[in-house]
Amino acid sequence: MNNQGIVKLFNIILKWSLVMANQHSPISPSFLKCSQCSLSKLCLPVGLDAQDMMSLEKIIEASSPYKENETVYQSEDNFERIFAVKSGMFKTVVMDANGNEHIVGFHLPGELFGLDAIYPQKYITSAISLGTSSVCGINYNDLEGLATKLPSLQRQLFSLMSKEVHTSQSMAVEHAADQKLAGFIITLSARYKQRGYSETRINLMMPRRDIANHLNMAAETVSRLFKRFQKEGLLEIKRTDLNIINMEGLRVLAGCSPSDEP
Amino acid sequence: MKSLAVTADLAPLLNKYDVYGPRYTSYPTALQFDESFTEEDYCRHAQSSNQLPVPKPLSIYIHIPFCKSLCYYCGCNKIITSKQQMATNYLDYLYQEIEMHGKYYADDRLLQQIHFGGGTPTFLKPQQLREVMEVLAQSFHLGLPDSLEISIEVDPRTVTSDEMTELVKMGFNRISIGVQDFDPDVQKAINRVQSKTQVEDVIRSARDNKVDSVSIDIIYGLPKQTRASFSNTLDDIIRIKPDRIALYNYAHMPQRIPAQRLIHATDIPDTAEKLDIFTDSIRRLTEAGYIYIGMDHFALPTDSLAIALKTGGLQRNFQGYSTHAECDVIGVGVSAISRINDSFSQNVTEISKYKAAIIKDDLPIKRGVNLTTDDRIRADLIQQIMCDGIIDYSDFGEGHDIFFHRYFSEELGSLDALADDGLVDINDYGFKVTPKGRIFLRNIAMKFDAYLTQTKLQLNEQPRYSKTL
Repeated sequence: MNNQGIVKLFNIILKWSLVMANQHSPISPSFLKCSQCSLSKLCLPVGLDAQDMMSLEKIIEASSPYKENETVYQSEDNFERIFAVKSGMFKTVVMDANGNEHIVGFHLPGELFGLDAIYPQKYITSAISLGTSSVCGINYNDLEGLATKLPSLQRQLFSLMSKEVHTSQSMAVEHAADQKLAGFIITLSARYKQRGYSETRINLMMPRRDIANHLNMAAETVSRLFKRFQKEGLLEIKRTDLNIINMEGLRVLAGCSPSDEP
Repeated sequence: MKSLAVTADLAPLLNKYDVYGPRYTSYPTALQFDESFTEEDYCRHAQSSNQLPVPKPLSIYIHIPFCKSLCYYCGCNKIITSKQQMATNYLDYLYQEIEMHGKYYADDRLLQQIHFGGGTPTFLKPQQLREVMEVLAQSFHLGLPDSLEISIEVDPRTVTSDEMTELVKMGFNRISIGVQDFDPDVQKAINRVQSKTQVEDVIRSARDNKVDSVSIDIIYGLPKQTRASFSNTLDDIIRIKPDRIALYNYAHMPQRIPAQRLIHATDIPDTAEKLDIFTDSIRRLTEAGYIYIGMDHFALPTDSLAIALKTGGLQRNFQGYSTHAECDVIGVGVSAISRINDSFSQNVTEISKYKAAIIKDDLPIKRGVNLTTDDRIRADLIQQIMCDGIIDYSDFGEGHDIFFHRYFSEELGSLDALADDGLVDINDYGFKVTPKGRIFLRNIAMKFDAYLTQTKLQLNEQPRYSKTL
């Protein structure tokens, strides 16, 4: 092998080792097919035909799994991509002027995050994995371009954005602690149900301090309320396993009218 | 529970199932603990345990390793000394360890159980025990008095009636008394001579001061023991009528436990006699109204343990059976074992190493294990076998995200042999330990021990575990 050959080989090895070392480098799109993803009925591809789906697949990058507590992006990072949760759960966090973190939302499979960066063109929140989780990243410029060509993609994108606005508005209303926690549980339950999971058995994989932070109460209050709900026969909790026994009771407590879809 | 019919057909089963096996006070057992487990692992588990939606209450086990004299049968971690100064010095380090643990746990995690074991916890004077309680109260938030369980193993030779009174007044509400055997010849052969009066005086003063529960430990299979002699001991025990009785099996393993070399092998009752003593004991105690809880434990029907067996609230921990909701257990002192979140860890056994770690502000952890998902599933199953004794395949499967039949297909196959011997009842939906099967709980649980099937330890090869009966 001549010198040039060795250099070439070295470069190939170097390139590969870099790829291997970089945990969250994009994986080739062939690994990822929206058409085969069980979440396609909730995520961006809603209403797309096979042809359009293929165009969408071309602009999607799946990343290798994140371990617990790893950062997808940090606030102030330049905006490039929005993300769809593929598995597990992510939280998005903002920091206030005093340096206190506030958890804006928990994101389940099939849900998007990073949408709030479209206007300022940089991420407002930081996104962090809870437990082992994975995402699909979608370059926003490409998505915007594609949406102008595919009306059903545009419709779904607007619809998902509207849902985000709706959620943050309902979060802004002040409620009593027990009402907030009950509301949080039934919302989670409804979101899991939409995703084809059990609506009564939920894995609360987020630490209690995160639930507390998100609902703006003390961690001790979260546990005290869970214990009270258990005593009242509304639910059962074992480790992180939440079992809803009386959904109607929880809905009443949360202040939903029986027909309300959270 | 149906009364336990101790009939002639029990003898062949007792022979057949008398093999070496774990006691399942933990799963995985201590043999699986590994020295790669560090303080960092412990810390991570402590933090995760704080972050559950409803964190478990806390329980603390405090190991006092000192004894004034050597009991020849004993395999516990202990130091024989008469110097009180050794204990005073040890406590200085123990307090630091307690404080170190205290910092790891969230404020709303109440300490619900405090247990002093040994060695001989009553090697400590009441004043020293009070000091330990004060340090605990500074480092942890104690549960309300009516739900706080404070227990201590009592050596009647080291406590006066007045001291016992003081202990109960201080808040100790459960005592367990090491009797082992009342027969003078047996007592001499095991180097533990104590009179009936000593035992009864201590119990009387505890009861006079309204202690919640009195438990007595006795041991079968000790040197010089005969069917007749043990029958006399049982007479006395039944007359004293403790709330609970622990009937332990003496495991003669002189190659592992040096103290046992002082016992003459020829003095030990042979297997047939030993099994007779065991069956006699079960019969006598159940006739006297005691409920057989399982393993080594008996309780009066009014005792919380017997009530928990009936209502399904029984738990198993390092000290045997308990009625308390599952706690995270912090073990402090030499050789103590902690069970936090999904981990077990054990402290160093030597006092010198213990002190050296504390001086460096390190937890004196020697080894431990991070539970895998499979460990957790099997630990829960073994706990359920040892306690309620009823397994519903779909309930258990749903609770652990498994298809029970598929997950445990081999194990279920091997259970048939136990069913043939009448130890379990199996149907399509689950299996149930029979009253007779409760004598063989360890043998049933062993079928689900992944580490045993891996290494085939249950073959009577190396006695790394004690005999099951």
